[in-house]
Amino acid sequence: MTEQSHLLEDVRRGMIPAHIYNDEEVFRLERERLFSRAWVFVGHESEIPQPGDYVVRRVLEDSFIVARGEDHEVRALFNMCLHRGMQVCRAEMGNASHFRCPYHGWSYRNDGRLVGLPFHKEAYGGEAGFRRKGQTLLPAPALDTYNGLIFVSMDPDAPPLREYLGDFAFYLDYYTKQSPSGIELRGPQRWRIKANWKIGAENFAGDMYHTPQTHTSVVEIGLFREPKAEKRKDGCTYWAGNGGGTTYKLPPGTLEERLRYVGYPDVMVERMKRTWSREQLDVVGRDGFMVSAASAFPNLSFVHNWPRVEDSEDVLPFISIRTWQPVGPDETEVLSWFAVDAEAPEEFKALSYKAYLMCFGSTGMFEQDDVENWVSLTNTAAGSMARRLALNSRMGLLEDDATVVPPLSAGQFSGPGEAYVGYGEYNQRHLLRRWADYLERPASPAERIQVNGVEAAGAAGKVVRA
Amino acid sequence: MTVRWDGEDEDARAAARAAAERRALLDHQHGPEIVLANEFAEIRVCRVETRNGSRLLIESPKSGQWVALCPFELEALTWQNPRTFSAMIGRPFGPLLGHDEEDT
Repeated sequence: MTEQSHLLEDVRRGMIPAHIYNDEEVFRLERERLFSRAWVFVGHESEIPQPGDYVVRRVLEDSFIVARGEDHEVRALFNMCLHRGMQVCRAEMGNASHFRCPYHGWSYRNDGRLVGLPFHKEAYGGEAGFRRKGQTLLPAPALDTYNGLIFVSMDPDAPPLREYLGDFAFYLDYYTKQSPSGIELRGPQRWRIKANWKIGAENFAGDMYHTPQTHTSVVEIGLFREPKAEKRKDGCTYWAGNGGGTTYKLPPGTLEERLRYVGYPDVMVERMKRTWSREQLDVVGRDGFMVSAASAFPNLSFVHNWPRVEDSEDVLPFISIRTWQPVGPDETEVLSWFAVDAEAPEEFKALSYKAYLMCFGSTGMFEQDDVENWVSLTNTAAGSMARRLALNSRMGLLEDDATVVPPLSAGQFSGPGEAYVGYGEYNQRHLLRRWADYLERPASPAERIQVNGVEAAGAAGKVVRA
Repeated sequence: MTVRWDGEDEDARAAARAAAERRALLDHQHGPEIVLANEFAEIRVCRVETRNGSRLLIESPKSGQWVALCPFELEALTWQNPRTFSAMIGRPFGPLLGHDEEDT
């Protein structure tokens, strides 16, 4: 562990030991100390709009049934039968009032309550041997939502989600609340890449610098209106609370003109004006910045872009939400959703979906460009040479830690947090500093839960009888 | 002042909620409806799609009461004998088992 504390110090200085992108020991710590505590996104309420709708999602190896009960309540139930531990739901989505384990046929209501076990009387002697009453599939230790985004935490004492997100919630609204109805989702597409999960999270958090190089071809084929990918240096990056992102600088104009410039029709602009705060509107209308990619710590990302669609000069915006779900130190499962304002005109929704598919998702052009880099990086990070190398992630800082450019003043940028114009790795450092803070803090033992347990003399640990 | 029974407002709110829920289900009706009737009851049945699956919407036009059953609940009906249904019919317009017993 002494080696790790040295590693964490390096990370805090903006020097990144290259092996953290492919290291079993680091991954073990991430599992034990980060994903055991942080709020992790698992889905959106619009994916389970009606009683009985459910989706099955994972946090590392833990599978959860995210279901809306007959009482309309959203729950995340650990997808493990209380009897032999079989997965109760194996389809990724469906609608059911009850679930039944395929192994021995134990059945549960969609709020988790155990309603029946075959041969209860003959096999267990009825309630005297196994108290069915009060038994329930394990709920996620903590569940909370923001704008319909459903998060779970493995820590029952996790702070409220809103507090955890902090001022990043201000920016989340651009992606998830363009009208009072919020967003609806399509997907997710789910696929695996042989790359470490942190790379995508960092890239989306603040890497405007890779666009001119990695994504040259996307600009060359005329998918974007901006003539050059270098345009990105005029945008700013911001970090606020537990997340941060990138923006594009918009041409001069009013709020309405600028929102129209990225392709929003007037009906949507009007709803944004009624839904967003003065400060949220000012980031666009007064300061001239439009959000693009973003990440919320640890592994949730967003993207908002406005490519040309349908062989015309017109651009149309799309929003994608994605998680970088770790599978191992060198593998990540990407879940990528299309998101759109629920009140958007149907034609807009259809074209926006097309714009999304062109750029992101398993066949998206940006996706192909990015992943090639990330796989290659992950591969190389596994070797012995990578253990000798600390990568410089100090872009935007001078040697004495002063910033290359001053942060934007409140008069230049009305959003919360700290924003800088141009290329920098401020956000990647913020993200990895949080990562270091989690990895430094030893995990406390989790409560054990016994299914209808009997007291054992001298059993270690706190036992909760269910 | 209008004279009202205790809980009248709550009942009205619950009815409005149930009506809204029913409309939301019927917005995604799939296929035709089937109406069955005898001298004691009339029932309207149709398939409705939720985002992630299907349910069978069963409604009584006379009382306005309805239930949306999932395939698993419908299969469970096939396991029943006349006694189960007699017990249900024997307690008209209310559930066979009350909410208090439910969680148990």
